[in-house]
Amino acid sequence: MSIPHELVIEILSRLPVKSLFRFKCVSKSWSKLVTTDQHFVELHLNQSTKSNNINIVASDPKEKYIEEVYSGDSMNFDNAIQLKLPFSFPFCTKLELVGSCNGILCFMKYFFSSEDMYLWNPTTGDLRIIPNIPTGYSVCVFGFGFHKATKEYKLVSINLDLRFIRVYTLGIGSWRTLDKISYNIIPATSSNVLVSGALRWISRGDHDRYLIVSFDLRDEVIHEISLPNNIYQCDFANAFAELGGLLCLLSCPLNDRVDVWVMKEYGMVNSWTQQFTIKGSTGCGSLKHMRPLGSGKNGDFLLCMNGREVVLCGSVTQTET
Amino acid sequence: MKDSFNPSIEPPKKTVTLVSSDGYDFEVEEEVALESQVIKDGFEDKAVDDREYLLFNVHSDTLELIIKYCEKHVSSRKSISAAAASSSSSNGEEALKEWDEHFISVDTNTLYDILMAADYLNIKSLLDLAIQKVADTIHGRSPEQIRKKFNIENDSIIDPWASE
Repeated sequence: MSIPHELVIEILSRLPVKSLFRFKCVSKSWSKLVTTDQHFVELHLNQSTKSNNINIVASDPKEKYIEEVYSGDSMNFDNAIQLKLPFSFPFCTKLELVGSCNGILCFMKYFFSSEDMYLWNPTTGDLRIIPNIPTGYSVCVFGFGFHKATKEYKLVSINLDLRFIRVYTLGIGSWRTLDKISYNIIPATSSNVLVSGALRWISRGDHDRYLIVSFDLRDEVIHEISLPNNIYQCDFANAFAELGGLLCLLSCPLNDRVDVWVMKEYGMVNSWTQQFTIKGSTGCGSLKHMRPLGSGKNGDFLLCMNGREVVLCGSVTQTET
Repeated sequence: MKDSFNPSIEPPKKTVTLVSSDGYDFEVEEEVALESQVIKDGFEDKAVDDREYLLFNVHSDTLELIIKYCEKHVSSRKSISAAAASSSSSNGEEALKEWDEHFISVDTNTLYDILMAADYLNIKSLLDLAIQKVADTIHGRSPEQIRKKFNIENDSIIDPWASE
């Protein structure tokens, strides 16, 4: 039985990466397809994002030490498996998750004054190190993302003291410095969320007016997006998330309440809708300093609470709009 | 807003004849045959009285299954949209999914016949179903088993699985 090549490609695009890598040695053409064919990689990515696997990193948000990494299906967090980090790090090293997309996790490793970035694909075991991130002892925020149009992975570093952006395009291999920016970005709002090909942070302007600074990974320009009109604003109360491909802002006006705002049409400020409210149950501690780790298809959120506790919150109250 | 779409008003049923590679005639309703994009594309070009399609690549055993699949999907679509129009709740889509799963749970040879026929006739949903089923059945196999299954000659220089 001989199956046409196009069908074989379609079949292979539905296989888990682990199987694909085992099948590399089936033949030379299969090996080439799996490892170097850009079209196939895209096809496979499209298929696998349908199943929506997410990686969860349990860490101490105050210390930003990463302790454990879990991978789980967003529909069923119960089956999460623990992943073994592929690198060991000496005492005094700090490891921080910058972001993740397309199954690749991006970590920042701090060791005294040296700062390296690790890109790790847990499924293939691929590990790349981008050494010596130029921070110059300044406070920086980082981002990692992929743009569908350019098909490029980019690392972004924003120097908050000197206020400039640096970009590293994977495959090209050097940091480029862009124009200075005038925003006062809050480091606590480090962006782990890639929506519409942009990374974003919250910036505090004059008169404590907060706004979203969105960095487009294709054009490498910043767009301003206003926060919802009547959202509670302070330095530590907001976090970004993604819900069904839409940009989502979690806001914590009270210790036991999180409002979930969704931007129904990307870039349209009047499309901000307060979708859900998550109420903390007694004994679960303050919801402030929570970090969204992921969201399920049905609107469930996985939140990392103070310290190590990870809770799954359902969309408790649907706000009438 | 629902417009004045009424599923109960239908033109009288027309039929077409599908002829399998081994020469059997299958008379099916036109809308069932039109599930195949290839037949649909050819439909406009055909003369009105010429309603016979010779399917050189599809054996009668497979064609019977394909027709069964198309008939089920046409009728399910109707009942799902009828349920939506009357805004009554239905689990039609879920039931169809279950039916599909049962339908495609066949032996390997039949699965490959369905795959090839769905590709030849260009029936998108069935092709999708068959491809996923093949992927599900092979993902745990060894490279040697894969070579056998796909009829591939081993041209790799190093085969780490050869010793197994």
